[in-house]
Amino acid sequence: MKYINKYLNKYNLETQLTIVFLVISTSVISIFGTYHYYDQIHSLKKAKQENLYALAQSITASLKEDIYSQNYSSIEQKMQGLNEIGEIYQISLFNSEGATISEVKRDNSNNLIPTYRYIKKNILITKIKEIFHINDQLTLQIPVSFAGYNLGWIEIISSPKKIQNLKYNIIKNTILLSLIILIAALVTIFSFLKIKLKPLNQLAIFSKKIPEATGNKINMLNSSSEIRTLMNSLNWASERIYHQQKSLTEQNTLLETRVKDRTKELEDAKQMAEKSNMAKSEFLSCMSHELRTPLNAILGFAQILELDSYKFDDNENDNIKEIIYAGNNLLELVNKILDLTKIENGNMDLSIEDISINSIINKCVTLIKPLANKSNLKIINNIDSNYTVSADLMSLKQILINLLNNAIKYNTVNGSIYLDSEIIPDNRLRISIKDTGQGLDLNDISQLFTPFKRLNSKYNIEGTGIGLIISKKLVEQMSGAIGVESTVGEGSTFWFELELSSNNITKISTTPVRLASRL
Amino acid sequence: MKYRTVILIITLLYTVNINAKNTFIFARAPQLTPAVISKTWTPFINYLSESTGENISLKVYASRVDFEKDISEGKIDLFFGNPGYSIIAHKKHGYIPIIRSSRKLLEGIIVTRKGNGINSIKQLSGKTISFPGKNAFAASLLIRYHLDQNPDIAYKAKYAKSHDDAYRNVLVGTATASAGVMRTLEREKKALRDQLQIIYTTPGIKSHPIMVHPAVPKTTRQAIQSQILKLSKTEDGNKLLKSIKLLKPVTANYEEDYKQVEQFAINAYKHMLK
Repeated sequence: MKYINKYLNKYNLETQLTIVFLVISTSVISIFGTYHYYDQIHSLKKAKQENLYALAQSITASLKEDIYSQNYSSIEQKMQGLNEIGEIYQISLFNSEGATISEVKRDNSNNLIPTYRYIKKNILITKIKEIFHINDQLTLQIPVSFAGYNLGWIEIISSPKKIQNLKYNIIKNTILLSLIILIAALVTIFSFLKIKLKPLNQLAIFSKKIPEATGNKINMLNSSSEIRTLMNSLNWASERIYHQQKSLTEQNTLLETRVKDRTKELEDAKQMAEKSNMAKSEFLSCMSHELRTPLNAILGFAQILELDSYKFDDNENDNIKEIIYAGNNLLELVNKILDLTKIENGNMDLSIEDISINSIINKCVTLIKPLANKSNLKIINNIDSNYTVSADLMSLKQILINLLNNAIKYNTVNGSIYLDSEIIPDNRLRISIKDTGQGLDLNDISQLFTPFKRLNSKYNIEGTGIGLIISKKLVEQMSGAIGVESTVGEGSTFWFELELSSNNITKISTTPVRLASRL
Repeated sequence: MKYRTVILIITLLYTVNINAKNTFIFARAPQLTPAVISKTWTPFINYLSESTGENISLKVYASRVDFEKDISEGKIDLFFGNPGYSIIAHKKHGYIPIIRSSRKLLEGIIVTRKGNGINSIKQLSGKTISFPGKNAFAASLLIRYHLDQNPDIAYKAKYAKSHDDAYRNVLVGTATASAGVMRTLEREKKALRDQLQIIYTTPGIKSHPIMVHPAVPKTTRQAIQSQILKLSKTEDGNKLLKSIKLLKPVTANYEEDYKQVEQFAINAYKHMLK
């Protein structure tokens, strides 16, 4: 039942009911047809049996005397004379000893002719006996007696053709009757279903339109109680949805107005901010230029003083050195601020070209090595790559120096710096620089790429606080990315990614094994 | 005048009396119904009358007994019957055979059911033999005569109404054997015939003759004889002979044709000799 239900649920209700009614009607009418057929066949057989019995009685009556006086040829002639009685297929006459007296049977041309089959049976029929054969033939055995003597028996077999013809008629009529009833039943059922399911279909169509929230109502007051209940519920739902939709639309409109207002406010604020930023950049730029001129003068004069160091005592010389040192630091800061403002204003001109990673890394490592040696740091360059990247040479150099500088600055004494590279998806090369310093916590990391947010103060290390932001801006201008991964107490890994130049792409595709191992 | 008239009338009557010839009666033994005999024999009798110039008249019988009585009393001028009647008529009144069919010999047969193990009449002792009636010439009288020559064979006789019934008695099992003649056995359907076997055939007897009473003038007798023989020379004549089953007629001779079966005939028809 569960399975049938599961199967039927694939179809709509009308189809389901149609299938169920079809199956039930067909089954019921098939059973009725079968019953009708067997009932008719039974009646037919009974009628045939009675017919044959009457026939056998009249035949025996006419043959009795001949059997008694053993007029065998006369019996044979009389039996042949029954040719016209189509119901007879075969007649056999046996004497009281069970021996055939005479036997006639229909031949191919449908004539009753003697078989001349003389046999002796070891039985004696003393009671009427009927045998129905599979082929619808009926055999009737009737004892024959005359003047108190048992003369033997007659065996009469009905013609199969007659009964078969009638049987075919019965089958034909039964099928016809069953079909008529079936069609009538189906027409009635389908008409009934159509009428009964029509409101349901209308409700289904109506329910589909409810989400449109038109607030329409359906009126089917003449339907059955269940349909009316359903109709009321759907009408209620339709109305409810209409009202809700209406209030929702109103609120939406209100919200949209608010959003528009806020967006405008934000845009205004953004424009203000941009203007402020521009003003800030312009201010910084102007200020730096203005600062650099006197600073160069200060530095120039300090260096002149340094050349004449013999004229001053040690304390004065130390002060001169301090002036030069502080002046240089200030100059570096001013230069960097200028770079940053240039980048932010879009005044930084990049010249993108194919740059060999191997050679630039080596150059930068050579440049930074003396500084590393001071802190007794080991630089382990694992980059042995003949790839080239699309980048601006000066910017790339600046980024590398900056990151290497940081790795030295924030390392521990006797620590190490590891340089690695790997190919990553989208034909990019990632270069990572790992130190063995104290590492960064999440708070540190969030402030890393913000201007003037220095961690130096925390670690008591000198710096401008805008190196990383410059590196970030430069990498982004070269369509790259920059980032950091760090574990407190273990060290940090700064990485940046750049696009591989197009001549490398073919190289990659021809060396898939290497690519895979790197990935 | 009166005398003259009387004399004339007497003379006339005398003349008529002289011119009126004898009418010969021709009888046919009642093996078939009177109607059938009349129909088949009348053309032949007419032919004989016309060709011989004698008055010959056909007599038919409804009963065998009446026929036998007429023969036994010698009332008939000519007759056609079985050799038994012919021999009795010869012995009692001197009837002379003039013509017989040269075609067939009369012989009786005994049949049994195939496969019942009986192959000779000696095995029929104590068994039932079915005969087609008591008086059938070859199938009953002749066979019984020959069987009776063997006193060892103590059979039981069962008389059926016809040859067909006699044969069927054997097949049904109501008799072990049946007497009959070839003609009636061959008339049966092959399916039936095939179940029977002939175990005995009697010696043959020459076929039915036409017998003539000795009182019939010799000239008339000879005329009839020659007219019948003539018939076999024409197509129409043969047709006529065929209809009365007197095919290929030849002159009959008592001594040669029937003498040897005198004893059988006397035995079979002794009631006629009384």
